[in-house]
Formats: sequence, structure tokens, C-alpha cells
Amino acid sequence: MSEIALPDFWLPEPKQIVRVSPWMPTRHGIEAVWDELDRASRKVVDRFFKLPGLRERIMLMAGSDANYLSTALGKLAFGKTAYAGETTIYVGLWTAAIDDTLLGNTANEANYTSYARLALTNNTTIFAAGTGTTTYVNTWPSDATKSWPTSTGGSSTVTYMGALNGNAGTSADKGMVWASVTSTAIANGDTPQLAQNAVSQTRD
Amino acid sequence: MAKTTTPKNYVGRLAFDPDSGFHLSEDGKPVITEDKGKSWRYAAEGEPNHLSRYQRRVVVIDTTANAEDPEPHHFEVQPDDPHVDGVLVDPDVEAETITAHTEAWKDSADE
Repeated sequence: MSEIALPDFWLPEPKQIVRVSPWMPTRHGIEAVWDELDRASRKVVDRFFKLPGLRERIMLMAGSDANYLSTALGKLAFGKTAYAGETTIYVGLWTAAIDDTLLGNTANEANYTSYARLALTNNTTIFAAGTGTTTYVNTWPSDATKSWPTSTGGSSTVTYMGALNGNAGTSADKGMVWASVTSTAIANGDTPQLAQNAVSQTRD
Repeated sequence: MAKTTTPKNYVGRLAFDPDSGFHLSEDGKPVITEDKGKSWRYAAEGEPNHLSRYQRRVVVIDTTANAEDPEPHHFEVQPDDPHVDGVLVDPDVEAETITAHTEAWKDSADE
């Protein structure tokens, strides 16, 4: 039997498509499903497209449990590692983005004169139980509007708010939750105020 | 002779108690400033709190989740929209006669 010589030929090596960023909707894609979106989703999408860059768009998912709280709750549920909760929750303001890594020494905390974190006693008066089974929602502060100290000098434009378990101003203070807030300039004489039930936490 | 006591100065981290309106020292006691934050001392009984001393305006901090709809026309027909009373029929004579799509529809209807 004679051999048949085949000419060399080259098969292109398949290139794997690897996603390196979160899925982002395109304007055309959203247009196609717009009618299917409920009002809340349209609101989010609308804000999404107005943001200037990838980081801002990722941060649009603005609000989350921070690492410390996620870990504590996870360990409590699976493994029964005790987590007794905090006695006081300290709520601070930031002038730049914060995220799940929030700690007491996270940079860009508000620094107008007389600024201090709110000290909120952790009880069901201020943090009342929420509602819902499929989606559990709790809102706070449940009892009343809460004011941060009046600025007595300097100014800060706050864009994020975070709750921590301490007030040392160091990494010993662990972040619990964080959220973006509407950009608010605090000038001399201004008192930042958080309305009753302004913060809504959703877990599903 | 009556003895007068000078309130003790305080240096350290501050927290703020929104219920009393006082700053709190690290040991949880109310402290005040009389020089707009340059120095702090423990408050004496009956002294006015920080808010009543310095507050001039209130600014509201609110989460972006509660922000107003930035573009209301995305959610409902606006009063200045010509379609506010329903869908308008805008016949496009040219498109009806020259587009392949329209012609294709006519062809399929003839079959």
C-alpha cells in the first residue's frame, strides 16, 4: 500500500472568550426588553447609563453587607460560630466610594470640623424588624430622624454612608453595611440628617 | 466660700449621640466645644448641646436608592408629548410605497 503524503495544513487554535468584567447591558439590548422591566428596574438602568465609567457602573450596585457582617452571619448559620451582634452601631459618612472592605480606617471619611460618627444603640427601637419572606426588607432608623453633628468649619461632600461596629478610627472597626447616598455638600453650619427609615436593606 | 469646678478638657475620638445632640467621649460622656471644634471639654449639667449651639441649616442624607426618577419620560407619557392622549397615526406615504418591507407584505397578501 502506498502512502499518501498530505500537504501541511494549519488548523487555527480556538480562542476562548473569557469574560473579564461584569456583564453590562447595552443600550440596544435594554431597548429590546424595556417594556418588560418594572419601574424599579427602569430606574436602575436609567442611572446605569448616565454613569461615566466602569467603576461607577459597578458601584451602582451601591449598597451591600460588608465582608465582616457577611462572614459573621455565614459562620453563625453554618457551623454555629457565635455572633452576638453589636451593642452600638456607628454610622459614618464618606466623600468617596467605599465597598465591602469597609473598615474604620477606610480613607475619605468626612472631615468637616466637629464631624463624628453617629452612635446608634443596636436595639429594635432604632433597628426594627423588617418584613417579607421571599425578600426580607428592614429599614432604619426606625424611631426618628438622626442628625450628625453640625459642621463648625470646613466642608465635606458626602457620597457614601457606612455602618461599623466600632469608633476607634482604625482597622479594628469592622464594616457592617454600606450604601451610596445622593451627593450632599456639608458646609459650615449644616447639619446632615438621615430621615426616619431612609435606609432600606433588602436580603433575598 | 463656694468652690467652683472647671469642667475637664477632653482630647480623643468623638462619636455623636443624635438623641441628646451631644458629642460623646470614648467613655460615653457628653462633651462640648465652645470654640467651633478647636477644643473639647466634658459638658456640665444643663449646658446646651452641639446642635442648639451651632445648627443653622439641615441637609438631608439619602441613599441613591431613594433618588427621584431622573428622567420621567422613561416611565410614563409626559403632558407635553403629542402622544399623551394615545398613539398618533402618522401615515408615511413614501414609506408605504417604496420600502421593501411594505411591498413584501403586499406580495404575501396577494398569494
